[in-house]
Order: sequence, then structure tokens, then C-alpha cells
Amino acid sequence: MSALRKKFGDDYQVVTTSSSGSGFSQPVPEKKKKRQRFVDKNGRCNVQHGNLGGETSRYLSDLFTTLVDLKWRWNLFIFVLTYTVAWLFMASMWWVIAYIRGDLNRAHDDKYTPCVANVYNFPSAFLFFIETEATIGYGYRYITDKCPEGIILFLFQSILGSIVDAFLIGCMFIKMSQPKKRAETLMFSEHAAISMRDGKLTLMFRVGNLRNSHMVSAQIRCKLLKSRQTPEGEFLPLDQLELDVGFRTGADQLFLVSPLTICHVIDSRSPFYELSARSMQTEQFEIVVILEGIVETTGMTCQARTSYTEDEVLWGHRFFPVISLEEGFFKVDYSQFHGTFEVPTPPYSAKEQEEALLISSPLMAPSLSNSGEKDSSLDCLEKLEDAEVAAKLPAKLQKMTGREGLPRKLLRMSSTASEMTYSLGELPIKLQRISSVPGVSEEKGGSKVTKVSAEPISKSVADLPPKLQKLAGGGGGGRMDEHLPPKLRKMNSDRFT
Amino acid sequence: FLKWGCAFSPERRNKRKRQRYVEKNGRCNVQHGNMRETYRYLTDIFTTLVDLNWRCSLFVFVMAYAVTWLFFGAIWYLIAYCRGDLDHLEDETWTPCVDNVNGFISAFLFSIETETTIGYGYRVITDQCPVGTMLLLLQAILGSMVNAFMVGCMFVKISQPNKRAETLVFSRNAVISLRDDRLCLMFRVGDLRSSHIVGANMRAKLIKSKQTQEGEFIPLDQTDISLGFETGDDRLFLVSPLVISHEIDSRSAFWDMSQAQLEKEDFEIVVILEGMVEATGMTCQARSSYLAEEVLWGHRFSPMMSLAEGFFDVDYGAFHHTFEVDTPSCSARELSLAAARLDAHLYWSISSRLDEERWEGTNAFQGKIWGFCFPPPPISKEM
Repeated sequence: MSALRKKFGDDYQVVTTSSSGSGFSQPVPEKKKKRQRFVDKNGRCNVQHGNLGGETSRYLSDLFTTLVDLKWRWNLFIFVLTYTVAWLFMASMWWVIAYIRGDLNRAHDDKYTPCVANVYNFPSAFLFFIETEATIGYGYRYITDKCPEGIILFLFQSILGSIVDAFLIGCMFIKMSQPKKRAETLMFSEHAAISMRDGKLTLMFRVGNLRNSHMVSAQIRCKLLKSRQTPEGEFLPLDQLELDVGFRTGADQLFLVSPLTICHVIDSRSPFYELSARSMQTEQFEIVVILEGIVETTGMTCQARTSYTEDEVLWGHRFFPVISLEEGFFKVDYSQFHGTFEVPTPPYSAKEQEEALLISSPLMAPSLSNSGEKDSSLDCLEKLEDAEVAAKLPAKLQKMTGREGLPRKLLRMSSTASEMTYSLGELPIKLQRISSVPGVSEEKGGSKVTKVSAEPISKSVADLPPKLQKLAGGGGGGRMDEHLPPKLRKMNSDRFT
Repeated sequence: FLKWGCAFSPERRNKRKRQRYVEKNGRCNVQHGNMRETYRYLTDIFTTLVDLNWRCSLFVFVMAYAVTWLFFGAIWYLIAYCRGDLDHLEDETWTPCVDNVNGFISAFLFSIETETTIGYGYRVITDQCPVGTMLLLLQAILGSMVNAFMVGCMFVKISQPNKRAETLVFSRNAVISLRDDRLCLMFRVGDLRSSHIVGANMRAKLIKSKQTQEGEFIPLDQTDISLGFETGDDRLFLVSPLVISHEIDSRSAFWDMSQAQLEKEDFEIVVILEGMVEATGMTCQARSSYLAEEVLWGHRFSPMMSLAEGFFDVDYGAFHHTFEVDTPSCSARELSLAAARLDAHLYWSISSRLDEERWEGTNAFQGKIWGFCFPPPPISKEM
């Protein structure tokens, strides 16, 4: 176990749930040494199979796949080798027949009928063999009927020749039309970006199809590779977790014509629920993206892969739009495909944002805490032992609530009222705007928030956002614009006016 | 991006012809520009060749053969030239490399006869020429490889499954009407052949540009339209034309859309039918699209199937035909609210902000529609 850890320990930090709180006071660690990727950017996997022992015979039993899997140069080498060496061997058999029969000495004897006409030395035997094998059959050298052993060899050669020919040609064709080459014209963005979309923190990356022919039944999957240690002490190196990119709703079936931005919403079910801008610098993970689909022309399924390590995931960025409207068609500009620009994004994790939401509506606290389960409170309190959560709450919100003990009670509620927090997903961004715009609405923010909370809780949640939107829209919208590049700022102003 | 604003602002919609993302026949209006990594197309040479149109494909086919023939013909001529065969044409005692090769044309003919394995026999290689033997070997091998590749490409191009999509038809219009007291968006799909589509499944995407709360403008954002993914209703048994329906419920993008709003809306519905061609087992995909103006509110598809003597007769003349039925012009959300209010025995008029004047007799219209099309609901008995 410790040996495993030693192998992995240098490259992969074991992630535990308890120690992340201590990461704050330390300065950002120096540049980590270059880490080993599981999957390269182009989809090649860095795994070698070693120490197979007695299992190598399996590769020979499945000769066809072994041949097709070889690189091109080995394939051509085997191809040429088969043809020349086997041919040399078989040609020598014709020569041997001629030798035994004594044809070689009677080359220019007109009355003598040799086995094969005009074969009187090895080169001519070899030429005869090629002409027969490749079915060229010039006719100068031909087999006579005075030679039963020659006829048998002739039959044998024809049949064997056909079989070997079919096998090699088949391998060659399969190797040429491999659907995995189609993956070369499927492109992924170099970076993944995390920002807010519709009030929810979302991890996004982009995928594009460079050809005009389609990918039928295109489906996208996402896996998170992260080493971890279970509470029982089992170390799982490179444990794979599924990231939901639309499996439940069927949104993972893509209609891939122009580049699409694939979104993974970071909610309570996501492994990134507790990922914040700061914790991303200390964590180590790899996101492997798999796009599968059927090549339209051949009907064979192909798979394109890529991966994003934690330094290729950008917090607070958004992708440049690539599609524009031309005269009669839509134009995709691939020079912008990998481009991202920064947008103001709260550096807090999705979990903290939802907790901040609960804290800022204290009216919810007493009514909901009545339904609290005593047992789960202990679990929550254990989770709260790390000071990370409490320390991360914006100071303003803490002041507003006035109590630091409140978070714990609210978090206990949050475990029971997960439904409610999910539906209130719109609120956090508004409150962040309130708290992040100092001077403009600080006093207003405080009073408005308490005013909101004073309203009866039975009013539907959907009514809350419009009020807060009015509150934050004037100040927040204007400030956001400064961060956008000028092109989009102009576009935004067109939309808003 | 100013163009986006123009194209999608409601007032100017009628004046500017909207650009479709997908044509009615399934072709997509997207061009890929400014592509810097062109090496990718060469690495995947097979798909590049098969994707070419027929003219280019035949040109490549002819060129591949002609170039190899010419190349080897030139080498045979070179061998004859270097050996001095061409100077000893009339010499009986001289054994040339290849008999009866006396110029470039005969060398070229010899090369063709060897590579296509015809081998007439008038031009024969002699055994006094080791270089010739090796070249013969090389040409035989290369000939079979080129042959395999070209024949393979041609075969793949001929048997492309996406040609099957030509005989899969979609209706020209989509309709919205009531089905089982719920508003449904429907369109019709049909298979013109007798052979089946195995494992057919239907998908639909709504293409509509949107702006997120954070100010991000997403052009042509694709959202899924549920055609029965959860229940498995999207898997079709397509023998006769089917009407595919999308029930407009609270999760649907059309939940808040009333008839008046439909006239002002700007979206595109792309429908995708995928399945395996029964003969070859290769998956094909048929596509079509419906713009907002091709969606008819309050229509229904005419029936096409009738019972004949011993079989069911399908009349494709009525495939695109729709007829008008009485349908409430409110949105699905308002309809469900009205239904909820009726259940609670409360009567007040439904205020649709956009079309107040159509709502004079709320209950009257409901009674009218139900009396016209459906048996009276059980609620009325309680009332």
C-alpha cells in the first residue's frame, strides 16, 4: 500500500476531506513538478501493458486485430516480407521440381517436354512463380501436362495465393478506412472554463466538427480522474467519476454541425461542488472528455478523446463566440475556437454560494430548522470543522447576519432542504452583486435584504428574483460591462437598448 | 453581431428573410472558415476522399491508376534504355529485359498489362534481367494495394447509408393542437420504402439565440425538445407514417407560448431521425427543420391510412395535408391554470396579457371546444 502511494504520491496528492482547511494560511505552493497525464490532449492514452507473462499467446490467437493495430510501417513491412520471402520459398519449389526431373540440363532440347516450358534456371522459375501468383500469366512460361507433381503444386499455389492475397488486402483496407482517423477532424478547445451561466456555476468546454459530413448519434461523456483515499483506508489511484453533461435529459446526444459549448452544471451532485478558485490551485485532477459517434460515410463508430488537467481549467472565463451570420449561410471562424476572455465570477465554490444564500435570508432559518434531524446535524458539524467555509463567507454577509454560529444551523437545514436551495439557485448571483458592489448599494443592500426576508415565506420563490434583479440590475449591469471586450460590450448594449 | 440584433428583433422579422440553420432537406448551412490546422484533413485522408462529390472522386480514381501506370512505364523504358535494348532492336542474339518493348508506348503498355494482371504475352519479361524481376515484384505488390484502396473507396461511396435518408420524408409543417387536453407540438415522419429502419429513434433540438443573466450572448443555442426520451417513446416502429408529438409541459420551452406569441417568435426546430439501414446494417440520419412560421397553431394532420382488402393502404398525397381545428389560443401554462381553476370550482377569467380580447367567454369557449371535439369532461357533471 505504501509502495503504491510512493509511486503515486509524488505525482498525485491524495485528496482528503479534512485537511483542505489548512491550505489558506500557507502561501501558494511553488510550481508543481510537471505531472504525468493519463490522456494526452490528442486523445492518446499513456498506459503501457507490462509483465503479461503467459498471456502473449492471446495476441497471436487474434491475429487480425494485432495486424490492424500495428503501425503503418510494420504493416507494409509484413506485407512486402510475405510477398517476397514466401514467393522466394515457393519459387524454389518449382526449381526443385525442374531439377529433380532433369529439365535444367535440357534447356534447348526441342523434343523434350519440361514441366514448365521455358523454365531452365532459378530466375526463370521465380518469374514463372510471380506470373502465376499475381495472375499475370504472360504465356511464355506455361505449365505442360506431362508433370503431375507440377499440377499439384500449381493447384496448391493458386489456392494459397488467393487466401494470402485476400487476407493482406483485407487488412490493408481495414487499416485505411479506420474510423479512428475521423477523430482527427473533431476538435476540442484547449482550455475548459468555469463561469456563471443562468445563475449557476458551470464548467464548459467546446467541441467542433471540422467536416461537412455529420457524426450520426453523436454522444458526449465526461469522466473525472482523481486519486482518493476511502475512509476505510483504501487508496484508489486515478479513480474515475462521471460528470453529468446531460445524460439525464438526453442533452448529451449532440447535433454537431457548428461548434458547441458543452456545459456541466456544478450542483450538489457534481464532484466539483466544493471547488473554488483557490482550491483549484492545490487540487490535482484530470477531466477526460469522450465524444463518440458514427461516421456518416462508412457507418463505423469512432471515438475522439481529450483531457483537461487542473491548470487547463480557467476560473472565470468564457468562450468567444465563433459563429456569425453571412449572406445565405452561417460562418464559423475557427481562429476564435480556443479563445476565452475573463468575466467577473465569484471565486467561491457552488456550495459556498448556496450557503451564502441561506445565510442572507434569516427568516428561513427558524421555520426550517424545526424540521431538522438531530442525527444529520452531527455529520454537518463534522464537515464544518474545517474553517474553510466560515472563513470564506464574505465579511459583509457575516456582519449582516451578525452571528457566526448561524452557518452551522443553516447548513444542517441545507442538508434537509436541498430541494429548496436548488430552486433558489438564481439568488446567489444577485446577492453576490449586492455584496461586491461597494458604496453603491451597501446600505441599500442591507436594508433591502432584510426587507426581502421580512416578507412572508409562503410567497413563491419565483417572485424573489425579479425584485433583487431590479435592485442589482442598475448597478451591477453597468459594472459588468467594463470587464467585457469592446466588441461584446457594443453587442450587449444593442441587446439591452 | 449587430446582424444578430437585426435578424432577431420582432419588428423587423417580416422584412428580413430569416437565415435557416438547417434546410428542409436536411442540408446544413454552415461553412467552416479560417481553419489553421489543415493537416488534420490529410491525416484522415480516407474520409476526405469519400466525402468528395462524385466528379472529384472519379477524377481521383482515374488519376491514381493513370499515374502509377505512367510511372512504372517510364521506369521500364528507362531500364530498356540503360541496358541498351533500344539500340539492339533488330539483333536476334540480344536478349532484352522485356521482349518486344521498343519504345515508350510499348513500355507503357507492358506496365498496364503487368499492373492490371492481364498479361497478354506478346511482351514478356526474360530471365536475363534481375532489375526487371525486382521491378516486376514491386509493381505487382503496389498494383494490388492501389487496387484494393480504390475499389474500397468506390464501394464505400456507393453504399453510403446517408443516401437512405432520401426516402425518409418529414411533413412540410408542424402543428400545435390539443391532444388529451394538453397542447402538443406535432409533425409527421414517413418511410417510403418497404424495407425497415432498424432501431429508429427520433430527436429534436430547438435552436434559438439567447442571452444569459450574466450578459453572455449565445447565438444559436441548442436545447433538447423531449419526444419521449424518458418513457422510450422516441424509439419508433416506422412502417407507416407516424405523427410524432411533443407534449408541451412545464419543462418544455413552449410552455409560455401562446398563439399570438408564436407569430412573433423566432426559432428553428431541427428534427433528427436516426436508424440502421436494414440491408447493410449501417446507421443513417435524416434531418429536417421547421421555422416558427412553419408551425401552424390549431391544425391537425389529415389521416392517411385506410383499410383495403387484406392490407393497409397509405395515401402519400395526404402526407403534408393539415386541417384546422378549434384550439385555445392561450399558452399551455395558462391552459393548465385554467384547468386547475376549473377543478377548484373557481370562476374568474384567465388574463392572458397579450390577447385579452379573445377571452370574453372563457367557459364558453371551453364548453364549445369540448362539445365539438371531445365528450364533456367529468367536472361539468359535478358542476
